[in-house]
Amino acid sequence: MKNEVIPNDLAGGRDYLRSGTGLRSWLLTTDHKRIGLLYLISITVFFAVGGIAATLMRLELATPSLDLFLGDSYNKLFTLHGVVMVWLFLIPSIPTVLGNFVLPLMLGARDLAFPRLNLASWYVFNAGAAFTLWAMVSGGVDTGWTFYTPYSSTYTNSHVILMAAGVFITGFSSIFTGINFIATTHKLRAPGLHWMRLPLFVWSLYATSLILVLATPVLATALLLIAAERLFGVGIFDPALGGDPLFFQHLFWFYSHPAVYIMILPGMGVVSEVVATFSRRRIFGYAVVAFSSMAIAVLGFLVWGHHMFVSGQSVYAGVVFSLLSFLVAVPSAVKVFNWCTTLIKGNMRLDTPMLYALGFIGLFTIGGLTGLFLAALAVDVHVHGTYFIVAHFHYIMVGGMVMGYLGGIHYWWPKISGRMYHEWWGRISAIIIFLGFNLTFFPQFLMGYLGMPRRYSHYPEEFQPYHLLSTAGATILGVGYLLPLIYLGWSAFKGRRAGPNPWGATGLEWSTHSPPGKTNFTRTPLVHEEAYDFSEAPEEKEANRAGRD
Amino acid sequence: MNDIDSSGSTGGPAGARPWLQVLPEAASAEAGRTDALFFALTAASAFITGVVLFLVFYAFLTRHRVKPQASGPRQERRNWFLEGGWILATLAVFLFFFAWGAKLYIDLNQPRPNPVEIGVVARQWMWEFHYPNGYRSHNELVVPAGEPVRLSMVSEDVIHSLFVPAFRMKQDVLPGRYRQMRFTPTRSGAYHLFCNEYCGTWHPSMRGVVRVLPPDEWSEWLDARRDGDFAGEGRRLFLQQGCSGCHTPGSPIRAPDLAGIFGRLVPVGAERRLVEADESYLRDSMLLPLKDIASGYAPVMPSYEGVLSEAQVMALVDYLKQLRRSDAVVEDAP
Repeated sequence: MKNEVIPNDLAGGRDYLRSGTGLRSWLLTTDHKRIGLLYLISITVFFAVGGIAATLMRLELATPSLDLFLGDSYNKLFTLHGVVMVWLFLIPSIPTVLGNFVLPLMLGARDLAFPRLNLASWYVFNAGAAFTLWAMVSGGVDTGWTFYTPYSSTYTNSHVILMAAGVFITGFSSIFTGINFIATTHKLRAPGLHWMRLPLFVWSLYATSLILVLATPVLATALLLIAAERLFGVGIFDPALGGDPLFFQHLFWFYSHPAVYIMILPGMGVVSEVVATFSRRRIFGYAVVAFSSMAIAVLGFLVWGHHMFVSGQSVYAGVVFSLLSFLVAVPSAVKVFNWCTTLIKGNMRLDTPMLYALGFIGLFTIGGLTGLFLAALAVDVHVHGTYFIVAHFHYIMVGGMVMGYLGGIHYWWPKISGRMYHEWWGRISAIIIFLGFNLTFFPQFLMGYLGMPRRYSHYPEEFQPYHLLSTAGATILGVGYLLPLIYLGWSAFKGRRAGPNPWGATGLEWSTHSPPGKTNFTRTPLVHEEAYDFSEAPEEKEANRAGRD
Repeated sequence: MNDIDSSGSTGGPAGARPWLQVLPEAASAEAGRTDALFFALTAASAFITGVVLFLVFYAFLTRHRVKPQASGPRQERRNWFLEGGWILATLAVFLFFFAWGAKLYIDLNQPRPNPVEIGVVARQWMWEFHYPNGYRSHNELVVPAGEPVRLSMVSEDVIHSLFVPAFRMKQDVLPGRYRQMRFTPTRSGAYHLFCNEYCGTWHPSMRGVVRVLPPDEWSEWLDARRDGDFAGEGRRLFLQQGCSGCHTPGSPIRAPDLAGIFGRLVPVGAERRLVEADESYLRDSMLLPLKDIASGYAPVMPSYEGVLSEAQVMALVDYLKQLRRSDAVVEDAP
């Protein structure tokens, strides 16, 4: 990028990792980069907790009978897996780790707009997580992550209030992060960085933040109402008390469907960055891709009823929600077409982040297309609540978001740690994850159409071959997830030094040191170019830069 | 439930099963239509996935470079023709599948003429089926092949969902209101019946079997149970709970005569709005009597909420259904 060149000296000669040591300097930091790392530690722990729960479930499901657990323990495991993975991993994952780290760098800013609020969000997040873990160790919750009433509000004897409190509190950290990102994107862009020059990752974070701020309060409301019914017997959801059980589902999905887009939009943003860098090509249809993120954010609020096609809402409501659900799929499809066109027009390199991005494109395509099956009313009547939908949302959440997250971690790792990881280990683990993922979840489409209901700890025998395949795949997937933990950890201390821009990428984050100094840039950068300008080879670019200096 | 001949008493399809079953059996008129849409979606999805994979591999084969180099113009030309083209093409394909799915869904929910009406009460963790003659079965639903069936379902506690994969049908069963499910079985046999909405500790044990019998066998089967223990319960309740005190022609308190009420259009409220006296209407009239007052009557009916269980309400509804063939003609209220 032929932007204003940034002198290669760090203020005081220290990067952000070394400016200030000791626990205190980390726990009281307001540096967005350090807070990003704090979040990285938190959500890695929660990913492990959710992953262990998933492993235990897959072990139980290897046979049709109930052998490892009592029915209740299995029910508590899938609740734990869902709650932890959704609220303590997927929703915070890319925004709070990569977004926190990269957003100010991409905008040419010294920090987020509200650095203290950013630190507060991490503490609030962990406080919420502590409640959730408290609920877990004090006996668990058996409602499923969906908390459907009146089971959750009246019938279950498990620790719903504690768990709901955890999710409620975590919601505030989401809102804090959303507000911070919106304000930062509006107010702290470097001179010359107007909206249509923003990297697509920034667009996707902006769309995500809007949803975080607008949808999370509705979830908080729903959880408070459950608590009111459970603690004080106020009749809201239980018909025996004069309530309406479907009312909860409307509130819950009014949040939780947009939340699905909280969980996928940032992944799409990462893929746009990675595809551009490793194709050395501006993303084809930049404006269309940028606005499709906004279209998804808006339309995503209008489709919640597609979770309720068989729950007893009216036929007309079903038809309208089906139509809107098909419409929200259009901008996602458009993104996939634009990425493919970029690949064809560019010059491809298959480094580790690109393998993850290509994996994302393939798996998200399958996840998105099977979403159409679920939007098609009559087919949903059959597959609703079966393993078909379990497979569908894991293709989006794990095949999409986790692949995007890992791709982003590998892409920005040289910037975060200042060092390169072992490229071959990176590629091998990306391929293991891709294969393990498909072996785990593709059989679930088949057994779902065959009629296997979800949330069953024991099941009729004819489903066993599929469950066995799935359990075998989960084992491979587990290995694939452990590998990056090892070689990334190793590289943080022993890896080869990366230099400012190891990928030859564009974007302001690559124009400063790796790792960056505490204030990111020594001088506010000026932007003269569109995003993703690869019109010159990297050497020419360096030469031009030197000439300008 | 032990006197129906079948090899698959544990539920599920009877007879030898292949070691790997790929598609569920199709045993209802609806199943084939849902499958057709499913296969069309599968074909379209396979095609689109194939195109995406082809593009990725094509890009890899033709555009892979080991050394980074200059690539592309400084500014991408906007190609509105291409963008607009695939937006419209995607939209057209999506709308086609939307219309197809919506058509089938509307059909599924259409009332069929003269259905066999069976009541369903769900509770943690069992299914109870109420047949037209008052007989009840548990965890086993027996239906005739070739005749439309309508289930009226209600839960006594949490939300359940009745799912019969072989029929491609499911419907959540809610507490506090009746929900209908309509299907026409076509093939004799025994099929799985699952609870498909998580309902607590033994949710995965809340399974049963659907037996489809040829129509004449079904009638025989049902007739053999006419004098079962359950048959008279609705009538007993009608007398015990004091319903008969008012709802009898010539009683001192003026209340609608209930003979033949089921399925008729009844005027309610001051504006004489017509509502069909179906299961939901009858249930609500017992538990929430003030909701719809039959036109011309005083709102004196007491609520039986908390007095009658859903199973008892359904027994009363069954009784009122039997009264429908009575030749007593009920006059409209003045």
